[in-house]
Amino acid sequence: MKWARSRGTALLTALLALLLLPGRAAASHLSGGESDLMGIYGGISLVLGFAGLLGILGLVPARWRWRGYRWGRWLLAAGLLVLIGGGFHAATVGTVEQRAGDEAFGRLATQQIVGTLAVFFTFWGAVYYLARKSGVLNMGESVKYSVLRNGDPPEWTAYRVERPGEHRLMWVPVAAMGILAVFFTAGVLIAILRLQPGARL
Amino acid sequence: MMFSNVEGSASRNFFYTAVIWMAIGMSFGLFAAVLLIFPDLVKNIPVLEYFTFGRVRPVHTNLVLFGWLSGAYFATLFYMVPRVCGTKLWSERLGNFTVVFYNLLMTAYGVTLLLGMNAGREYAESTWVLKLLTVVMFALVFFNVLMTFANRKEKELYVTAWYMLGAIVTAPVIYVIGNQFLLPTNPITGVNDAVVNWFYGHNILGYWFTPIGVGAVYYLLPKLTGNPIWSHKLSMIGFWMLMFVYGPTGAHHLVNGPVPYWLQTVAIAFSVCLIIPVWTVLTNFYGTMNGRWGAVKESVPLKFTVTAMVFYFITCFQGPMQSLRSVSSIIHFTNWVVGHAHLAVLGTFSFIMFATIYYALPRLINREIWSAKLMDWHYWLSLIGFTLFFVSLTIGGLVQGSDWAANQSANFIASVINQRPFNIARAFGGAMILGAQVLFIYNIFKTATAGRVFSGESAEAGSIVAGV
Amino acid sequence: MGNKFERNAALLGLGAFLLLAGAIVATVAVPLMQEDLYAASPSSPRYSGMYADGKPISSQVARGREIYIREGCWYCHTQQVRTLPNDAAFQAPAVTLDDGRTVGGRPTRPEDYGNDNPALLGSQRTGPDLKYVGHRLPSKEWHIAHLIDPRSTEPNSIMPSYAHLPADELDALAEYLLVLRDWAVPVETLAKYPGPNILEATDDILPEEYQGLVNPYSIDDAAVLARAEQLIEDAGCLQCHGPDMRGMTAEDGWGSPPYPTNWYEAGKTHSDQFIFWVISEGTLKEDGSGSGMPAWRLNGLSDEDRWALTTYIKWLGTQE
Repeated sequence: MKWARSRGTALLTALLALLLLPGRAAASHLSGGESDLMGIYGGISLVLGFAGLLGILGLVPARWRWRGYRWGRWLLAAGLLVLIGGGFHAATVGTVEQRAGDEAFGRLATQQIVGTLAVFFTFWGAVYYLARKSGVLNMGESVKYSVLRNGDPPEWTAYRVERPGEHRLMWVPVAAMGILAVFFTAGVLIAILRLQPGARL
Repeated sequence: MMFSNVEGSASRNFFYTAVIWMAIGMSFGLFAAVLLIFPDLVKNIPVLEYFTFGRVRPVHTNLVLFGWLSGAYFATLFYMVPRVCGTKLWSERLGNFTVVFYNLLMTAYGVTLLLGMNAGREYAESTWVLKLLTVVMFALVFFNVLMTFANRKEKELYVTAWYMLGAIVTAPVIYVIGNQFLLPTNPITGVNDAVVNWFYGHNILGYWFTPIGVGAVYYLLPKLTGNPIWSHKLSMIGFWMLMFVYGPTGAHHLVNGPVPYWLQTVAIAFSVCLIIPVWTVLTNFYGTMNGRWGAVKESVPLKFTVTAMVFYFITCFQGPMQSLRSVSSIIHFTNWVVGHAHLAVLGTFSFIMFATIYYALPRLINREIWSAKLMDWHYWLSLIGFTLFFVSLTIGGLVQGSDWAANQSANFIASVINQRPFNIARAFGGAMILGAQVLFIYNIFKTATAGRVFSGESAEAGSIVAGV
Repeated sequence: MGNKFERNAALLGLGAFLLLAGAIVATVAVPLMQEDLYAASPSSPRYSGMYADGKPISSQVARGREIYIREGCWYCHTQQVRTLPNDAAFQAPAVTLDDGRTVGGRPTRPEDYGNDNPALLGSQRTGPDLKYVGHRLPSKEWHIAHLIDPRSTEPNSIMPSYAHLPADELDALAEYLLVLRDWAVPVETLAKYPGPNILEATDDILPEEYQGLVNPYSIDDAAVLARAEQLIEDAGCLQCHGPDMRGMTAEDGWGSPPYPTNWYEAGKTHSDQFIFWVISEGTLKEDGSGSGMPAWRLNGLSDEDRWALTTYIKWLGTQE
């Protein structure tokens, strides 16, 4: 715990220093700045982090639960690494549009996003830590059942036994989500890539 | 005038009147869509010539958001909160008074907006007096609900209760601050006005429309499946994440615009983070549906709920994506945004309200839904119409953005010409949606007047519905 | 689970409220404290008071803004030029002033909105951005004609007709649209006024950048003439220049000079460069405000398009 604490403090201090390093205010209204690489890194990091979180909390289907426990924290760490490493990468890729006299701009822009995420994760880390410590997270699984025992008669579907093979219906919405996600992503990518490089952000 | 104190009457009356406002609001929406295809439609027709797109559009948005969806939400609050609290609604009488108040207020909205009394801020168009009255309306509902919570017998707060409480505590704050503290002089001007307006415009979605809708699903799913929510932990993460992450996202409506870069970055980062609360909700949903997927085939409420979840996922897949600066540069100001907005309020939250009405109304008025066939028609027509609607708008938006980007010399008209087929498809989709809702309203009407008595213990598959 | 959840409702509510409060502080309060988000600048338009040259701003302007809000123009038109190459076409023209400063030619900034109440940034571009429309279309007649029947100036427009509005409201709206420009950019520097009867003007008044230009097309090129005819149809030129292309005069109901030219006469009288210049930059009235002739360089016609039109008019000059 001690080594974690000292490293944690070091990390926090480094982040704070990065945030507090003065940047130029004139850059604040301009666009350009960090490319949307951070968005991609952020998305990947979120997926890894979320999967890791599910694993740690044992919220994976029973068959894979042991894998979740085993790999959860590593997935979370991987997510964090992707985020920080991505931040460095995005900063080095540089700005799309440099205005005269804004040498600090690239760093300022990355500062802003790292700062935002630092706040976000610090807050949630603190909340999670406090929640774990107070035991609140383990309470109240019974709360789930309260809605089933109130006076409102459930729908007939609550008693309808699933026939063999019907569980495969769950793939219909999954397929719909997948198709739509691909459709939107493809549409956006096609539109962006059809632009001349100078016109892209 | 004595208002009824019958248990469940306020909820039922809100549902009845909300669907009427839905029909009216959607009709104005269809009218607006048709005006984009035939711009000279009302030209030279006395009185109607004033109802140009610019006057019709705010009538549509205000009546569907504050008339239909908020009305249905009040009904949902009055239905679900007593049941998760294990006690009656604190005052049906006050609830029914609020129903009358709400209907008068919505009429005032419609009339004043058609007359052109527009405050010039999106989703905050109503005049100052009406805004004050809107706060009063929310206060009447929330007071009733909070008193119900205070008197509750069920000590444990179920997930739905959190979401409802969260909405009650935050939505008024959003409304008041977002409407410039309800000061008639509107002291916040310039770019700050836009920042405050979009703080309001987006967060009224995140702190009013989302929590009640998601809370409703958390109630409906166990009732429709007989399973408890899959994970209590996940539901906690989802709720608190929503409360925290949604707030700073407002400025994503102003990306690449004349607002500070840091504000845009904050909004974009938090918009991307919104993926988490949505995925927790969806994961929970999928887990809860375990072993009940077969029932979806035979239950329209379940169909609407499942479909709403798909659209919810898509809304919150599109949302983070479109807040990125490069994507925004293509789709901002285009029809894509219109499609996205409807994915949320129509595809997700209205569909959830349809499921809620099909579930709650029989229990409120002790009548079976009159026609299973009409329910099916309602679902399929809504789904097909809406899919046509948002797909055409999405593609149209990408075409629009590409047209602008490709042509640097402001040959704007090309983008207008190219939108025509998409506007036509959108109007078709909209007409189907409206048609579906007409069937829905008819079914409700027949249920109320001629439905068979509701048998809550019915366990035979497919035998619940009487009539046609 | 006992007492922990007894008090939970209040605690839960407080928690949700605090989280939102954090967001409000960060994204609403902090920008409010940033001074440069308030300050008006020489660029931001004013709707009442005086122009820089001492002329009073018409009271119609403020009224026009109210009508713009009332009729919901802001639902289809934005008033923000983004920091993107896509939006460069909507910027105010870049002009170097006498003291060497460059104004215009940039995306909109907070200072361009000053104390606009409400700020009409807009959220949809069913129609073009209007933040600097006063530069592109500096003619009151054009705006009024467009408002009465949008399809008269742009055949493919889907904008509704505002013919039902009384004449003074249309006048007010037009006045408002004319002040939508970068006020740091002198409007006169854009279009040049060649005189009440344009057929009397000669090449002496051609600005430098137009003097040395060469028409890449020949009047014998049938493809170019066909292209020009298509452009004429798309851009609605004949609405003002007459279906027979012989222009309009006061007898035809045209308000004040300069009148839309007779193209046959123009083709005979003017040089290629002159015609190209008028098409590109538009014309002004004697009082310095815009005549009905738009500056097509800013309104969607490329160099090639304008040379094609020039060639067509020169060709018409040989046809009589």
